[in-house]
Amino acid sequence: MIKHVPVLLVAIPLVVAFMLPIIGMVNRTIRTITAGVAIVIIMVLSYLLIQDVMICKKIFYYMVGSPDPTALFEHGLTFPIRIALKIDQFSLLFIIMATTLSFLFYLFSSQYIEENERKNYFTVLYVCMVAGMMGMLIANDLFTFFVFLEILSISSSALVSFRTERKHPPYAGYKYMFVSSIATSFFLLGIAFLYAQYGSFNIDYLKKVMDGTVLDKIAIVMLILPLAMKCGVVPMHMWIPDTYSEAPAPISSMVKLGSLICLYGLFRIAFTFGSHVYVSYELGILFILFGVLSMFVGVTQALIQKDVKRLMAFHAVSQVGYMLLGVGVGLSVIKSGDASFAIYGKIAMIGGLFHVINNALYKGLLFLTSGIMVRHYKTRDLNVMHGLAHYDKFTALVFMIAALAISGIPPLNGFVSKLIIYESVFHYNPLLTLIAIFVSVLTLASFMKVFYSAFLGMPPERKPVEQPILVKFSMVILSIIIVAIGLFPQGIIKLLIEPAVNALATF
Amino acid sequence: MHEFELEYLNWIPLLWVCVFLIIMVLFIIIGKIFFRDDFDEMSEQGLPFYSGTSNKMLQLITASNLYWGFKHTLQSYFDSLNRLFISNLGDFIQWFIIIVAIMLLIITGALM
Repeated sequence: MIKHVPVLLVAIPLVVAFMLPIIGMVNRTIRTITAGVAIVIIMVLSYLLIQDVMICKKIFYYMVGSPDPTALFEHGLTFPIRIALKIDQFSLLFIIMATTLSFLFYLFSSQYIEENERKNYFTVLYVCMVAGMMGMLIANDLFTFFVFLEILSISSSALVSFRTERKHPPYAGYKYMFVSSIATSFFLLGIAFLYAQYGSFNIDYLKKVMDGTVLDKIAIVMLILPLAMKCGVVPMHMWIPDTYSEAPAPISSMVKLGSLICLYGLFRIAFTFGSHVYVSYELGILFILFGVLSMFVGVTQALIQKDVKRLMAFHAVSQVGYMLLGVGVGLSVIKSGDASFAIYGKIAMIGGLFHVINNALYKGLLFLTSGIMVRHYKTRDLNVMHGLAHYDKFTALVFMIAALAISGIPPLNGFVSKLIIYESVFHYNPLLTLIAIFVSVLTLASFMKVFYSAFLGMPPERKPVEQPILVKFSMVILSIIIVAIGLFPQGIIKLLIEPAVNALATF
Repeated sequence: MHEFELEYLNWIPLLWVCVFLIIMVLFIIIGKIFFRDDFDEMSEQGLPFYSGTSNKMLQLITASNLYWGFKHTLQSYFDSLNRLFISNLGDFIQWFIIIVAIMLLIITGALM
């Protein structure tokens, strides 16, 4: 059964998404449970792969429609336009992250989003989003990747438009759709350049036959930049605050998770094709530049915000910078021919990928807590908020854990990944480490402002409503994971991150 | 295993927790010995002291008041950022095209 897991990871959420509207018409509770069970099943399936993929270094291939789908068609020559799936160490790391967090955000949203006839749409789109993420993560051909990128984009923009505390989310959804359309159009153009030359969409095959023509390099730019735009890399970041701030809290977390999945695509294409056509150094330098720019612009913009969700959204931009910096340093020295990659390049990549996981956790938790703040005060304006900690100590505590983690305070998870990035990047260029530390200080200052404004001061005029059990439960689990990873990082680095970096480096 | 790899793996976060706990215990012990024993949190001593105004809302320092010096000093930087990114939909295309052009020049080696 385990050999069919690649296709099940996509098929289960897709099939369930189509069933949900019908189930919802019969019974709304069963609909909610069905969607949750579907996400739990793919989460369990992804955990089942850890033994084979991470420890035994096995790679799963799956060719949909083939008489023997699990037979190794890694070249994709026999069927150049077949749906090819692949799970390796790098993709499994992101699959585990995506399924676990989708489940926790779903728990939160199941009670946070009020139950009415529109929740049918919400649940269907949520599961479609999960299917989109899964498809992108296991696609081994560019066109399948593109199709699932579209599924993710369409469902995300619809969910961003879902009813929120403010009255203009449809504009934010439209903006997100517009950005996604530009991105995916260019991505399709990149695919067309490669298909026109080599007659295949298969990533493994393309890697083998690409010979570094100018058209190849243009195609790489066309494939990488749309994904960078979807990650919110400066200067293509302005849709992030507009979109994240208008979406319901759990959807802000999910859209953030979706942008990290785009980061997966970005890294995969950069390492697979970039190294092969001898542009890894140039790409690495560009990643570092984009990373530093994103870190600095994101955090300085965040510091002056008075809208709590816009502030957090700018921090999402800033945090992507750390990941690009870590992985960019690794990419720039991977083909250097000396010992640079062994000495610090690989460690920088470990830091970068570890930061992806950590960021998804604490950023998700921060968006969830912002939802509770906004629901209580009926506004996102920090000037109006005060003293929530007098009545809601639980939210204050989980917010503090997430805020300290994103600021890189020990012994939380953000500190560990940032420390690895600081140490390794210092060997490359000490100035980059200084900038990264400075950005971290500004991050702490920014979240001190949020904590002071929203949680301290005079008690609010009215007591907040007690949060439902699943809302609290999901936030508790996220907090526990954040603390546990901070206290015991070696385990997750050895088990998940290092194999993923090895796989990425040998693409 | 390379020497540098060992550096980050030697990170012992539990040590931080122990240090934190020891400091807390020391703080409590020192507090018990040296702090005033006539302090009563439930009396007027426990109330915050506000000066300047009796209006409770005006006593709050709001989020916009924080880091005003930072904001004031970097005003020209923020003004230029606001000019560059006004968040119109046209902006997205404009920046995307600019970055595509720059990346194409660098990656294809046209600048060499």
